[in-house]
Amino acid sequence: MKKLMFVCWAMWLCTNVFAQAKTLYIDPSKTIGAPASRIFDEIKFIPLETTKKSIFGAIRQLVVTDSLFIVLDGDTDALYFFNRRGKFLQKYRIRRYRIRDIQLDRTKNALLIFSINKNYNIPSVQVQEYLEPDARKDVSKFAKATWYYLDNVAAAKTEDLKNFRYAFTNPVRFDKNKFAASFIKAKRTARDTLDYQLKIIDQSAVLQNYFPYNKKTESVYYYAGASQCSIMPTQNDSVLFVTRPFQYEIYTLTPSAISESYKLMLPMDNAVPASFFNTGFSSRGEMDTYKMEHPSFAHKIENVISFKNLMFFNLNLFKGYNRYLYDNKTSLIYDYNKITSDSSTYFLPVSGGIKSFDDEHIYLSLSAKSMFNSKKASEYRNLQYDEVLTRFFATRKETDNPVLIQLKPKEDLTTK
Amino acid sequence: MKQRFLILLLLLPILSFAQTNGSVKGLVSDSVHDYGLQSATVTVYKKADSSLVNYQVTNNQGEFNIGELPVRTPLLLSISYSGYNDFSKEVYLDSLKKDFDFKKILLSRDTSRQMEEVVVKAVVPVRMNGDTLEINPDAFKLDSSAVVEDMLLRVPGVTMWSDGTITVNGKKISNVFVDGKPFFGGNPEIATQNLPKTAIEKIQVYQEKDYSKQDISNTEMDSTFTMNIKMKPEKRKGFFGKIGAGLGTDQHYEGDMTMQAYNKKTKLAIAGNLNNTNKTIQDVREAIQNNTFRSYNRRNFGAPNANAGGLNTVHYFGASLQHNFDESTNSRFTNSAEGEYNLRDSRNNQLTNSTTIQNLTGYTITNISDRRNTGSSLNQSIDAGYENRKQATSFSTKANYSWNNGQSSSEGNTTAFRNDTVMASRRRNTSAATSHSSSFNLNGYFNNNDYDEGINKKSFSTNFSVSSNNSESNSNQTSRFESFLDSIYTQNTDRKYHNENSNFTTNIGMNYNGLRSLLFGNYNFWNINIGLRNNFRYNKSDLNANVLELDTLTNTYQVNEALTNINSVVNIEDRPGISFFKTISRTLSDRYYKSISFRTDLQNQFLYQKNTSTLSYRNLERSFHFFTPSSSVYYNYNRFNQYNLNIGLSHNSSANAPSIDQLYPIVDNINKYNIVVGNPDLKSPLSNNFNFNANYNTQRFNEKTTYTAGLNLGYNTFKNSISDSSIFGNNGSRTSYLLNIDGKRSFRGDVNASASFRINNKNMLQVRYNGGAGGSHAPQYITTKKQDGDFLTQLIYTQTRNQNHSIHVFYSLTDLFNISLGESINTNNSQQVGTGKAVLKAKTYGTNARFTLLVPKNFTLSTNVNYLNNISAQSQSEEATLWNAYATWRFMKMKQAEIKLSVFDILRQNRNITNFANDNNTTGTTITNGIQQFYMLTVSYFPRRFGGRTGRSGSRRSESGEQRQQRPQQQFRQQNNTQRGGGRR
Repeated sequence: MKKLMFVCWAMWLCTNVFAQAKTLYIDPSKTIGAPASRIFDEIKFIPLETTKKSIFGAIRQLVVTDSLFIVLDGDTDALYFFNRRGKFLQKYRIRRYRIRDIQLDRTKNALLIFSINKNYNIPSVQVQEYLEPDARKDVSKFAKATWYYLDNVAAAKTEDLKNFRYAFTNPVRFDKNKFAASFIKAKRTARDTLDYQLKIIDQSAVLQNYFPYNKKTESVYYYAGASQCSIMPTQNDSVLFVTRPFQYEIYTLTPSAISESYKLMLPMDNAVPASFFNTGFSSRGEMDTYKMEHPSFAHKIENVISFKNLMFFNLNLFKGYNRYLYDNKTSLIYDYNKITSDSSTYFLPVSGGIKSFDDEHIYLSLSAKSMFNSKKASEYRNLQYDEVLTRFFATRKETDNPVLIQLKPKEDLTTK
Repeated sequence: MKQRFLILLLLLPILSFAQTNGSVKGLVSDSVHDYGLQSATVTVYKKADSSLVNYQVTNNQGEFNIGELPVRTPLLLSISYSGYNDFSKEVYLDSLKKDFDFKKILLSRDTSRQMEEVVVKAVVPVRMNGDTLEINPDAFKLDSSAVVEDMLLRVPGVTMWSDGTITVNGKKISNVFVDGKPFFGGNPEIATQNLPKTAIEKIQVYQEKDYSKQDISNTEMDSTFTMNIKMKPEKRKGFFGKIGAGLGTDQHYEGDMTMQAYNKKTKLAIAGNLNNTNKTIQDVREAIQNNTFRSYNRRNFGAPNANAGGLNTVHYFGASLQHNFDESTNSRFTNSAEGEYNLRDSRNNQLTNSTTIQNLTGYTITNISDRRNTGSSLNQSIDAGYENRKQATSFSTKANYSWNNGQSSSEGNTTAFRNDTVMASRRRNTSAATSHSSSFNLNGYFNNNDYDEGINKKSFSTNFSVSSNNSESNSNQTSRFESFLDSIYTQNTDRKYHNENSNFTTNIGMNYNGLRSLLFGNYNFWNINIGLRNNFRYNKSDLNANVLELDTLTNTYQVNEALTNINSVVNIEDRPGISFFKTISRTLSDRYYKSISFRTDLQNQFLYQKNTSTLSYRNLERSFHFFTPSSSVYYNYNRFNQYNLNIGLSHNSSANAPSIDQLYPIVDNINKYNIVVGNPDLKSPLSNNFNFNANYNTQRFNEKTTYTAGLNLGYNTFKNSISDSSIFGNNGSRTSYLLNIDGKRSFRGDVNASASFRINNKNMLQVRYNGGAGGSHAPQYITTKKQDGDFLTQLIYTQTRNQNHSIHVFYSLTDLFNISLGESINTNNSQQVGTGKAVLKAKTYGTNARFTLLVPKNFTLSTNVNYLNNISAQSQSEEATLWNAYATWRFMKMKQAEIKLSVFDILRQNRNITNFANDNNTTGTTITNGIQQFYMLTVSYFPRRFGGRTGRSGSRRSESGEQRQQRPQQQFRQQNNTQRGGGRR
């Protein structure tokens, strides 16, 4: 039912391409907080099993399926498969490749893995050449996309996409066989001027283009590893959220169109001024210097996750980032860092970054060290932990794997 | 001395404080939405004088629980949180109700405009802002004349070691900057002992790359910790200095004048010093660090240098100017120029007595000598430099021109004894010389980092240096050598030397770090970095020596043909090489970081040498080449929030061609005790050096104890080392023939450990131990004449062993007193292996104690005692106790005036005694006269102003007024940081 409602809402958005986007006024000094029990309904702690084979550093990405938690760990460059109770099932690495991104491909019941070869440093100029429509070179050696079939995790059956050039960028699975991807790079010597910030592609060709930019003159995109659009999956496979660098709109992308859903208004201290786009940066060094001098300017909106009345998002600044929760019903903006732990969370912090979400929940993680530190800090409360936590604290160590936290955001938030 | 030490240790536990066992707790909450406010600052003050008692930041739920509060004292609790109105309430805890619970404290939103002036009394003393630790001076209530160091002594986690080192959470601070730039030469004390606490906005401590390294192999070990003192914007200009004059007994005097002025871009320092109390002032930096504002300094700067040999009079003047072309406060970037001028007129008067003993095969030779030196010199120098460091490039160049006129005269007597009893010979020599010299140096570097794509194709660095020296000297030397055992050897020499020297050296080094990308393109070659390097050096020296010798028959000076010569030597060296570098690192978030780095340099050394001389036997042209590789392995293990361990192992090798003066020296026989004869067949010595080091330090944030330990081991071996074959005459004269012998080796090991315990806010105990041991094994030939007239040549090995241990205990009770005690032992042994000779041993025991009493207020009493006992190889004991005392009184409102009474060397025993043991089987003791007892009364004034001329000057403003002014700005900043802090990735 909720899924259907969401689709309806998304459809409504699509049909209202020209409709006025909702403007959110975000003043970091006026945001509010709340105890966790006012925001979340259910809370569940899922310790991930620690064995000699399954020990990993920190969760960089988490994919949640009906039966699995799949963790991408940047420290060990590997995937770790756990069942929903946290039992370790399988570890997977691609020899010589660094796994950059994982996505769930529901149509194939597979995990889509994007990885790049550790033995090569491909400069962005080179990537741009590989992405030209007339490029012929087979790039599988440098960057690839792989399906890992989830029917039988232990079998580790995989299949590579043949010569998928956009594996260099940040493609997101979209509308069955398509991807949305972004590769923005300007340089003075570019052959032509027109390029697009967002492209809808299939395995080889560009199908649609959005957001044109000037490849010769837009100097904010000159430098290597220039900022790209953020493309974020939603609970619906054919709807994506898209945000652009240095812009404060949140777009909704559907197979047929793109529309502006929200627009953030920031205080002057946090918004990049118009002069920024005319500055004429000549190198990454100059850009980095500008960023250092203006650390509070907002760079991009990221990690947009939407539930019925709530929307979680990050506002990335030139240095650091802020995380917010917007309540559509009351138009209140919560600073996620001000959501305090309380008895509903056993006074364990729930303010970490959101690693994943599904139809009803968001997932966070907490390192074993933080778990134990929090327990120590709350010792005077004489808490009665639930069975899972009691066992965790009794049998685990500070150096164990992180613990997943599953939280169900409330449908209607109440303020006191 | 040891008993005294024990008594003090026993006293320490008694020095604890009044009962502080009360507590307050509560929950800080938003009054409208009712949620806990985390990171709100809760501070407790004493009501009477609003001095800070304790503080806490609320936890995740908005709760606080502050302990260690004094009972039966009226207290004020204050809570502040940005964007909210303040809360404050009086509390009184007594023994019946020691713990007070505020329950829920509701803070209401501040609905007035953000930027309006809000009086907030509480601020967080220390917090982490991302990777940066920030210290907030406003949280520390101190006297209005307090300087930064007074505050740092009270910051948890910061340790001011008694040797001047600063550590923060166990990490050594390498740089102390003010607004991102070195402050008057970069010596930490100049900033921390001069800048008033009230002029500081905050102090930041962070880790940064060592930008002076020009290499591809930047590892964890190369990063340094920086302390940046951020001035309040309106205090970014000001001046400070000292004017002082002192008169003492025995015609001793001293005068000091230093003045330092700064603004956002420019820093100017002027320094002058006149003294005849053995203060050695070499440059502006030294002059200003001797004259900081803080009345007590740990390193005892400004006292006469008890180790200076002889009696010295110094008249010094210097000035330095540093200018930054931009106002950036980022320490990474700089665009600055600097200049300095120094003038130093000095006179020295020195008496030296020395005894050396040399073990020969059949007997020992003991030389006893005394020497009187007088000298004067006038040195002047001009320095100029420019530095420009940007994101990807850095350029620096420095030039120096110095000139010097000197005069000296000396006379000495040496008597040589055979087996301590039979007088073998005697030499009396005199010398009078004048010299003038000038030199010019230019050096610099340019680095380019092609960091845009992380591919380094254009990454290179170069360095260059040019130096040119000219000198001219005239000297007259006479020597009368009398031999008592060998009557044919009595000789009188009277020579006049006139030497003109010129020397030109240039050095150009190049490193190219992009070879991997150039060779392999995008392929990263198993992540092995490859660099190409080349170092080229050219050196030319010319000598024109004219030597006249007194002909006793005609009583006229005749040209000495053997010594008069014109010589020109050219040395060219080129050292190309290729280096490979790889780092493997493993991280497990929140648990550990470990890395291992390998580096190897394959280098070849080409040498070319050409000598032209009017003495035909010295004309030669030679070339050599050597393969001189070097490699290293470094390991780093960092257990998060626990400890850090670094281990390194390295090897390098180098070769030196024998110089012309080792191959074909001009043999000057004026000193019979040391005549060196060369050897044209000498080969080039090649040395291999191995080094191992390990460092450990604890790393716990806000812990009260800090431990560090380090170990260093070095081992060197030499192939074809140049040693000598000495022929000793019966009368003690020695002639050395140089030759190559394998088997020379040496080792050295050092251990240091330190621990610091902060017993509570005011009591601090530090213990340091340094120990080292070293030794060498050096072969040489000795030829002596036997009783029957035959010569006996024997290969001997000299083994030397030396050890030094020192332990240092420092205890301070902030604002009351501090005391330090130290004990050190040095031993030197020298032994001949293979001849059955007894070991020659020399030992030095040193004990020092220092006590400083800081009460009553503004009055400092300080005394130090240094007791030395030298036991020479002949088991003779030489003792000296140096005892000094100082009384200082500071007065005027800002303590800007000072009267100081010093008594130097109360016991009139100061001498400089040193023991030594050399490779050539010689041990000895040297005693030089030092400055002795005098009393001196010094009056000083410290002119200071921080901040502009308009309005009330910063230093006169009251502490509370200061805080009120700064608050709004601070509040806003704090608020930004809180949010950012949580959101760091």
